Amino acid sequence: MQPIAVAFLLVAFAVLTPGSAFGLTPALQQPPAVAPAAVAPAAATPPAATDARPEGAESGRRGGRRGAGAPAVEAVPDPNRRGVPVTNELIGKHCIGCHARNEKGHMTRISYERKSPEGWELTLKRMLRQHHLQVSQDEARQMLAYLANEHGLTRSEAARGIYESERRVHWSEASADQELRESCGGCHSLGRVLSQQRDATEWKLLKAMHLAFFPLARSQAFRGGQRRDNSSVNFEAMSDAEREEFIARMRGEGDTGPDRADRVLDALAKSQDLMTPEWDAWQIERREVPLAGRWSVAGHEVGKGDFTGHVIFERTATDSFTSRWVLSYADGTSAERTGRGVLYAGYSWRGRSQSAGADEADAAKEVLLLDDTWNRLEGRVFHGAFGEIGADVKLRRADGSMALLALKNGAVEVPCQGRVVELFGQGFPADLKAEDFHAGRGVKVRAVERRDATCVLLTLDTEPTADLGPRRLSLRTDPGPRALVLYDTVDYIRVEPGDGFSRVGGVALPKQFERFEARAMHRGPDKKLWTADDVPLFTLPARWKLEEMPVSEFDDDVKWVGTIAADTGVFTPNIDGPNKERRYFSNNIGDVYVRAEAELDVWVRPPEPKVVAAPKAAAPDAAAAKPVETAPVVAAPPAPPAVPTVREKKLFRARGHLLVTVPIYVQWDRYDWDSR
Amino acid sequence: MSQIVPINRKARRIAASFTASFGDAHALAPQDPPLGCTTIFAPGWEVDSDGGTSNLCTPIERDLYDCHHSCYWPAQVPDALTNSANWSQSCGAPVNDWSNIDLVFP
Repeated sequence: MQPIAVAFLLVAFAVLTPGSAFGLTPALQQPPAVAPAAVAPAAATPPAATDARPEGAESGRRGGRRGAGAPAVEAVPDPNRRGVPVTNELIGKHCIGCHARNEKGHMTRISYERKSPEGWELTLKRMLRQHHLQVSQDEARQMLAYLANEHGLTRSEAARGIYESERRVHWSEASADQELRESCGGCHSLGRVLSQQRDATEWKLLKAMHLAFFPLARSQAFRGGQRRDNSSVNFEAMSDAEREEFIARMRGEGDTGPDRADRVLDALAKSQDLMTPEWDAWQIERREVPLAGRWSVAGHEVGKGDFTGHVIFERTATDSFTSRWVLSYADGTSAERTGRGVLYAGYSWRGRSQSAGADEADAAKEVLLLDDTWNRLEGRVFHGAFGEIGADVKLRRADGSMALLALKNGAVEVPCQGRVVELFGQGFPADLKAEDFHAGRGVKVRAVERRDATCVLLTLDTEPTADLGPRRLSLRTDPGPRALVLYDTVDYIRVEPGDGFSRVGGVALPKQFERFEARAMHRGPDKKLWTADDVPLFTLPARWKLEEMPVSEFDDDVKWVGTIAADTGVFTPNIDGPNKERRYFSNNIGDVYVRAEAELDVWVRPPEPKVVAAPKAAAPDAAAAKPVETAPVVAAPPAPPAVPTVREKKLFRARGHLLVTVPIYVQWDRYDWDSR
Repeated sequence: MSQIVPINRKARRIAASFTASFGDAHALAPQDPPLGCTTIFAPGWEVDSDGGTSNLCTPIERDLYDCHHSCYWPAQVPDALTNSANWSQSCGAPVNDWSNIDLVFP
């Protein structure tokens, strides 16, 4: 049933689509009858008409239902169309049945798009699932490696949608282009769109594929612009003809112009074109990027805190490496993980590592992006059924040069005496002195204690007049990170993430966990709480509890959604499936507040000095012949800030929001190889 | 809250529940839903149009077949048309036999 249905749809689509190779293409409409391109030999094939057709041209009313018509897939790729030649034998062997090839090695579809490794993985799995591609797991890996390398993304292209590969749960796409969001983001994240480059024809074909596979997408997402506020429409006052016309308009009948998806695709064809100067440069300059060696690691894991350490990459084959991670966490624990990985297209690291003796399910995936200097890697290491348990990491090549990378407890009170800050870095020389460090106005580096080449303890004094906020801590020739934060007192604490997200599971489908941490905050330069300039100071241990978030009568979500560990902030959702004890057999889903409570010993901020308003100068009398001489107004010098003298133990409370929602029944990234 | 007075039973319950919690705690109202939530269609798979769960189908298994056959949520629920035509064969009545439904690995 299924292949027949798909074949029917594809054929039906090809026939109905304006500009189809089956007879509607303008170039092929010319008499005398030209042999159909589908059967013409490659050498005799005229340049495919897809490029000759004016952009966005309409041919026939059938295009109206589909908006601007999608181009047809060429029978044989036009050699004049720029594409990436396919040089891989496996792809030649396995894909040639459907994807024709020209003398330049261009294959239909494949040569005109570039994607992230995850993007190609989705494609490959779709070919396995839908189009009877028969390859072994090893062959599939080789094909994927080839595609992600030779038909992959450049660095800046990969950076644009890297959050998709990093599986970030807490990432907002709200600021993305609204049309793009409404056309694509209704079903999947925009990261999937941002992780690919195509030429204009290929972008149009993407829409064609969606319409063939998911016809509802047209009305759900692609058409756009049809949704209107009907609250003020008076049907009763309309005549029958008017009513019918209104309904027809609402259905989009007779709407022949480009729809929202066409507008979005036109924009994407410009912003994410197949051939870019960066890609061309990479083709010329490409080489195997030397990644092997030791790298320093600094990162933060929500719920676990900061960590530092190193990783050693060893080259095993072209672009392939083994990895050995040694990490130590702020809570005193440490971890050692070994694994392997591949550097795709010169910049994109995808690795997997696990601690010795651990279950493979415990393996963490690593998604890192190399920077242009080949000296920094940045990304996320994660595990969990949804990749939801993760840490942000920054790596710096440990090439012997001195570098200050992170401060383990870089938030320092003002005023304070003898505060010790731990510095993490690499290549710290043995002869370090206090004078080698510079912490800016109002901060004195009193003493230095070097533990080893990666760890230094710094003793700082801060003056009462020191400026608050983040500042650089520099060391000799290294400007250092802006990681030293001065604050007078903690103004409030906040729950991170502010919008928690979890899925029930554990019976039929996996649970999606959530972790929270409490972060101390300073009010920032505007002296107002909860504004954009507030400064995060440090994470602190807190007591955790769930609270009801009342949104409806008889709201009892907090009883069912799951439990939060009182000391660690780890939320474990309840099981999936209908709950017979709950009203309407409801699932164990709901919205709750996550409450954190913590006590801190902080300075009591003295009252603000009163600002004395300067006397207003008398308005000059325009009628007076003589200018009125007024004494120059001297602004009173600002009063020196009052020095805090009293400390207090203060109880801080904060709340975050947690959404515990339904499972997701499809996991696109997984494929059960043996049972297919 | 001080300028809004509850006038009916539901509002009084909400107000009571609200004030029973901390007066000085800064509650974060739900901001943008996390990545993975689809909010554009009503009510949305993971969240309803208010960003919560109270308007989702209850229980969700009641709606699975409909979503499956109509391919309404092709990224969240196996679609009957293209990718998972046989998905629901192992299950007679999803409300009772929901746990028999396989997680699909496309």
